[in-house]
Amino acid sequence: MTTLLETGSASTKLRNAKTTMRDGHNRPVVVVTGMGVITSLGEGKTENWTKITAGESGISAIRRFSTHGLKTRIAGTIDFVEVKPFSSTTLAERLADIVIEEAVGQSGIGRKGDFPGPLFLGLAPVEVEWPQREEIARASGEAGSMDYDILLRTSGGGRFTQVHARYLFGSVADHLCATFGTKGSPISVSTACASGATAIQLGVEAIQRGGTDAALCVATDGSVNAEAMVRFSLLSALSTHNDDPRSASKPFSKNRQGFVMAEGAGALVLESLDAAQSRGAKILGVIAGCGELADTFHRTRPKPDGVPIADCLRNALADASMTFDQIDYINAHGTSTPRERQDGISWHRRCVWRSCSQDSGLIQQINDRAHPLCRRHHRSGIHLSYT
Amino acid sequence: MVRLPADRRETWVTGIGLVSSLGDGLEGNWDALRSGRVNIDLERYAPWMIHPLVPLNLDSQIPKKGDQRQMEAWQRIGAYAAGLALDSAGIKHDKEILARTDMIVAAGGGERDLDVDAAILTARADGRSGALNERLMNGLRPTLFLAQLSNMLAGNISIVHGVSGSSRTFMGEEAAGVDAVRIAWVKIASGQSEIVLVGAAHNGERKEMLMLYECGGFNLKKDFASVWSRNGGGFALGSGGVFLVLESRPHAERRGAKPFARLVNVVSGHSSRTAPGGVERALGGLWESLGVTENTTAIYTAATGAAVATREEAAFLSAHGDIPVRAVGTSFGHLSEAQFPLTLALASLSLSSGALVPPNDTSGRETEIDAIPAQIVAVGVGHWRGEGMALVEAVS
Repeated sequence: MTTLLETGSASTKLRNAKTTMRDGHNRPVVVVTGMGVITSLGEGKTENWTKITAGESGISAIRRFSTHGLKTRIAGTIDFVEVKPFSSTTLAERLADIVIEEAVGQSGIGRKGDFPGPLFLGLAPVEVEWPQREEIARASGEAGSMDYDILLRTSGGGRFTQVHARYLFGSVADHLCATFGTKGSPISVSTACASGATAIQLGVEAIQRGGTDAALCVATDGSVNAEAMVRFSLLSALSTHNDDPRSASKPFSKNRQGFVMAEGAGALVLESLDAAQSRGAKILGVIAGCGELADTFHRTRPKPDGVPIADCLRNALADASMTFDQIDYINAHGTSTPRERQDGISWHRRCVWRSCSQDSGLIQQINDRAHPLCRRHHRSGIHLSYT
Repeated sequence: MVRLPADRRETWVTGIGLVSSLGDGLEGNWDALRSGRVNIDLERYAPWMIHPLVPLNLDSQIPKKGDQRQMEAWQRIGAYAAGLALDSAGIKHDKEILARTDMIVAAGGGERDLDVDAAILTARADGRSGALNERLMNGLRPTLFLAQLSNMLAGNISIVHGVSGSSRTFMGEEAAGVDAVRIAWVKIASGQSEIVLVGAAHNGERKEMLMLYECGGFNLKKDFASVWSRNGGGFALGSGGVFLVLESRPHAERRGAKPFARLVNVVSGHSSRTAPGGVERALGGLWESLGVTENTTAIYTAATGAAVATREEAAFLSAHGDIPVRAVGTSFGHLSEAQFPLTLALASLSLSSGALVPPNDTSGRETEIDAIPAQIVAVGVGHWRGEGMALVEAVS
């Protein structure tokens, strides 16, 4: 689990003091200078903000594939970005392209295709998908029963080199690195709902240790496909409120019943305050600290007393040299699963609580919010915002 | 653009956990290497071949049967090897240290249910288009997902061994193994962490993985040969798990831990396999930035045997022809994410044992040398992308 502490609207405080170039631990201050977002609500910050503040929902009945026989038939799919033939990995890649364009464009950093820092990418696990598996099966020419020996015999000879290239875990980061010219070896992280937060944390740490002046932190998820839906269904993690998609995701409600799968991507351009000010960049916010911790209690359940969540928050506050009194707003993980707990932080009721998954569903790689799977271990995702 | 920390703290390798086709634990693996033994199964998947895992006494590292049942083979191998590493570092039962030990795992994905896949493909070939949803709903074991998820190797290590400082899972085949080690090292060297468990696990006995690499033409077929004699024939997948405990020197000294080796530097790169000479140039650049001295006794490489990558790596190595080379892939097979951690582990073990791994090669590239190693460079070149190097030296 990971906690990010962000201080928005910080420019007034920062503008006048040289000393704020370094934080309470004598590290370079890390700021955000560009952001990009795409969700089932739409593309870009403006459209998403307009719709989310108007209370619109991106959750709807799935049209991408047949939901016959599935317990859950709703999701927050992104159907306005077309990928043919459909592949979750390729959709994730396209979504990442879109949000990086937006973030880098806003930031004005570097030159086109030449981003002056490393890439950290949160990504769902990658594997050969059904359309490709079936294509190999058809190519075998076998009419009777199919098995992996036949697939294996058919897959060689250079006919399916694209399957290999596409379904390596490193393929998405490789494409983004080449397209946007990030420096060094791109790192893909997959820590379920904590992936996005971990990607940001890796960027923050790289800047804090003076390893780079900038980092591109991205997370993307296009994983609404039949098998992913089934896998989560079998763990009883998904809401089955198929008849009322708009209210299916209800974090913290007593009758919450499961999360709603959704797609999307987000990108942040991080820079040292020094570098950002030197080039006259507009500073959108400060990442004051990060905390992390692993819950060792259970694979799908958080420790019942919520202590690991609270400790994770304390780690973030200590890292930011701040106290709870300074926090005004908590952007909670809020998966809407029955096991979701807020015990660890419920004693700080002064804060405003909000969970975006109510409107755009649970985008695992980017929202840093937990479904039961992440709770066992990385229930990352309480993103504290301080203004 | 990406700079090293200005004043680096000294980082030690204080724990190594290793299981492979050659043995369970450091002694078994070392003895097998010294005798030149290779464990290759030419029959099971003929004409393909794999280096199968030796039998493990799982109970010794994963005591609860319930935990063992919740994992598939790759996770069991990894959780087992991680336990060996914690034992080796002497922190297995130190709850205070485990609670603040950081963890970085380089992971692929877990095993699929091949029977369910086959049944679905058969049914859909008959034109039963609805078969996918129903077969998956009815055929998949509900908890299989937990055994497939990339981050659940780290999750299982947290649950079984109590490592809970942090948990990060990197994906991306060989490069993920390089970068996991690099980030673990730089966090310690820069003062961001005191102690990190880092490593990977790989189950090479999987037809769906053979299929993926067969699509790209990377599987070695029919005749086994050393990595340097494959003429681009590719790799034989291997099974194994490798974990290292990296620790700041002050932290290790305070608790009286003995180092296998000092990890001096880790660098990684990202070249194109399509531009001729890309790998060779990338390795040249990494070598320059690594800080190699005239004390360098040997180069241990994670070379795969893949056509472009290994040909260009061989060209790079020829430019350093006076330094003895060992390719670990000949003995262990290809462990993907785990291959670079494996190479680094063997380099560290050689430094602490005062002897190099003997040559295992008929091409003449690997030569015998009778010297006590002082410094070893571990090299990793992915079959499709990613390059890395680490410099380790003996702690006198």
